[in-house]
Amino acid sequence: MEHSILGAWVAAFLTLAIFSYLYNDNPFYKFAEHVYIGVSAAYWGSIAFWNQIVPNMFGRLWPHVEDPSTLEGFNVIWYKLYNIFHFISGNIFPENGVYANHDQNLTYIIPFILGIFMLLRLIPSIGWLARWSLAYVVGLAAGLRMYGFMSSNVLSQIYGTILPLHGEAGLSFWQNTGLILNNLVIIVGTLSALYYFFFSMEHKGIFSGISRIGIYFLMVSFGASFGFAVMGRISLLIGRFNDLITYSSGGYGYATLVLLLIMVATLFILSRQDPEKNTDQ
Amino acid sequence: MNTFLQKLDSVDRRVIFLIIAVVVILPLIFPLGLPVEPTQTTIDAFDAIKAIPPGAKVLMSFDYGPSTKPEIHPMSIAVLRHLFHKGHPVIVMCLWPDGLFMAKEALDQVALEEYKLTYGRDFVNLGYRPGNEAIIKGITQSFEANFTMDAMGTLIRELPIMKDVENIDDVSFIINMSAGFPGAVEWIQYAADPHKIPMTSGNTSIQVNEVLPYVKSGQMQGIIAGMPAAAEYEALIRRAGMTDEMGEATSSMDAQSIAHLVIVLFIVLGNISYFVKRKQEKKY
Amino acid sequence: MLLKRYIPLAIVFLVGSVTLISWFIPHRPFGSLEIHSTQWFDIIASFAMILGALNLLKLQGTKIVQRRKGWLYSVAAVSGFFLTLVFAFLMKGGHYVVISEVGSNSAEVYQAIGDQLNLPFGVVAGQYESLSENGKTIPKYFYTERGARAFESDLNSLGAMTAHQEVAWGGHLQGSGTYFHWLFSYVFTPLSATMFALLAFFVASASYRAFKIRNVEATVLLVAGVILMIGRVPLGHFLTSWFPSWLQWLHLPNLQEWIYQYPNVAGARAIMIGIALGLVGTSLRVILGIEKSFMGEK
Repeated sequence: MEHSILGAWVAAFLTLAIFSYLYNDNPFYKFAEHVYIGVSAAYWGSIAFWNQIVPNMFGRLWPHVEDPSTLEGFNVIWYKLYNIFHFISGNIFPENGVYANHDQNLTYIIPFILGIFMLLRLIPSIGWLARWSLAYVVGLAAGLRMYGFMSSNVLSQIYGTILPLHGEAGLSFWQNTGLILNNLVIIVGTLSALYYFFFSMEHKGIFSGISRIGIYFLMVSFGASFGFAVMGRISLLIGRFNDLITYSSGGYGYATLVLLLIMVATLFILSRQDPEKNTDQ
Repeated sequence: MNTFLQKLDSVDRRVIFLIIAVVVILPLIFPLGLPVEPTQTTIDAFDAIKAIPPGAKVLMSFDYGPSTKPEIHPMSIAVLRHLFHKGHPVIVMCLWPDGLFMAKEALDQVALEEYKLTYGRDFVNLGYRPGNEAIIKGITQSFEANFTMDAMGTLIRELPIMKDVENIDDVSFIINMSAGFPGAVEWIQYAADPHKIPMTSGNTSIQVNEVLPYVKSGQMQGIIAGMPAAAEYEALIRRAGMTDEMGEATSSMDAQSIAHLVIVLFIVLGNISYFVKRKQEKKY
Repeated sequence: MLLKRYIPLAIVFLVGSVTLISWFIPHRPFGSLEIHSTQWFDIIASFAMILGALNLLKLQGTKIVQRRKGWLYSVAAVSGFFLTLVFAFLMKGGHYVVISEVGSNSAEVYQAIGDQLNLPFGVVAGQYESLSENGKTIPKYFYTERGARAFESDLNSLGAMTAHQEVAWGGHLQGSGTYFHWLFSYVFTPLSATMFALLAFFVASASYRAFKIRNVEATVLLVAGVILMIGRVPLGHFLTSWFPSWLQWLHLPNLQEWIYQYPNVAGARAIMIGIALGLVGTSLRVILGIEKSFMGEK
């Protein structure tokens, strides 16, 4: 990707500012952190508006008409209402309707109203109206997820745990032994770990033994998760350092090196002025 | 020696930060060239894509953002190279807003610059829609209802690649590049599993354990697990003669390896220090 | 009570049960209901994102107005917020030139295009030799109309026929050469990626300080984690590649693969089933109105 020089300096500055937190909480980090929250909030809102609300909602309430003189009845008044939006912003609401190739569907006034109710959360006295919008979202999500999780995460997983404990034809003795042992590990591991989570019965006697085996399998899983977590974070760090190395070249005016020098010098001066802050937090 | 080991426990954490920074930067500047050997789950993903019938349309979902780009973008590039080399039309969509930009970058690099393909015929970027799993559920009924226009504002019914593609049942394979929610789990639950469409996924390392049971139960064919697996996939497509390029993930593996080794050494040192301290405390 | 509690509960019940039933009955009206109900969900979810953005503005704005501690940083937050909105709704960029005819001075035209795109003469000549009726977009995007017009006038002076165009509103979010795309690439991406990358240092520090083998379970966790960390990277292969064939089961990548595919899957599967059962139960409680926490009630 081609980088602009100004963009490289801005990116290098913001990256180093965030990394400066490793030394201590300092003005560079706080500035970058606040810029991040401001930019990302507006970014997400803008994306949602342009990619969903404009084409799928406004595009269905006021689809583009080639010739407004052909409008009849209710639509004459309806499109006059649209003209108010067009007057406010011709960029977002082009003349004569939104290009989205939807047929008009006035039932979409309901999500429009529910969406406005959602925004009314900002006004404490009528914020309770957002409950209606939340109820729709929560209800739909609950209905969608219940089937998906039951089917894919419970039934299919149980099916995947029912594994053969006999050898396969065509394999050697040692291959079959390995296959049977591996399947046994999955069956015993899954059942014993599931048993660990069964709290309706006290885990004593032989059941405490099963529970203990389950814990060990869970610990292996957590250890693997830990290993993957380390792997993931290091990968992301490598990505950032790759960018900083790119920006340290002459083509970008040695952005990384210059900014690093300035930041280190500034933090050094600040730490001299306020020694209390220069402790391990 | 014992005093030194005890003191190790209370070393300033900024020293640890500095060591990590140095062991990651040095191999990036001075590479070691450690060879990359593919693991079974990556090979399974490669073989699953290799087995897609010729000419079949593939749906690829970019569900990651810049925060996880170093891990997933290299595997997206490698998979796109594999798909375009085989001549599959690729329909790209995004459930993450940032995925839009990741998809554009990957398609510009692979489809336009490397393979000189035609937009609208060989590939399409349908763009992003908010709604998470509701979008996946929606496209099981109709693509057009959810993605009336593509990312550039063209009606999808005017695009040759979307001809005869009404819903998810009209694609032969699903590939999901996933960094969290929504991602691989949702694609399996709402599309691949109920509609019995073969699927594979590239995931961040953090998400791997969440998704691995689907691989073992056959709901997913292989998995590209994190940056090391991205390097493995790059090695596989190189070995198959699809590209000469090293790939970004492969060039990062030296730094990844050394960093892991150093963290393991930290854990070992930390435990030695802990045991020495405990022994001293028991003694007194 | 009716408006604040019972109507929301009725909405949850109606929407949840219809959605659940539609999984089993694909025919009308459930099939078509499903298309639109998910669209409505998407639209309301989008409004929720906008609510989040406005809420942030409210909080940071209050901090500035009341001059609370750290209010200057809030100015940075609000400035970043409005700058993004300006690029999303007011200032677009994304200007480019479409060439429909190269003209008789083709060599100079190709050179001019090659200079802009940083491409060799031969490549440009091959790409722009035959142009369709609609012309061909020159993939060099300008942030200002003036820049695009200057390039256009250069080409026109060499005899080419060109037209100035710009990325459409809506497409400007991810179009090249737009201010929004610049913000995404050089502000949002570095900030977002670095916030996550910061955790690598803390993971290393935590591993050193907190990861102590206090009991058998912690040992199992540690050993599994270490084998996986070393076995999954090229170093693991390098360290044990010299093992003889009878010790290949101890070759780190093989050992790691076995742990990864068998005992790890068993534990992960149990966790997955447990979470799924809990989720199914909670979803049912939500649909039946027993769980009211989404409304802020117990």
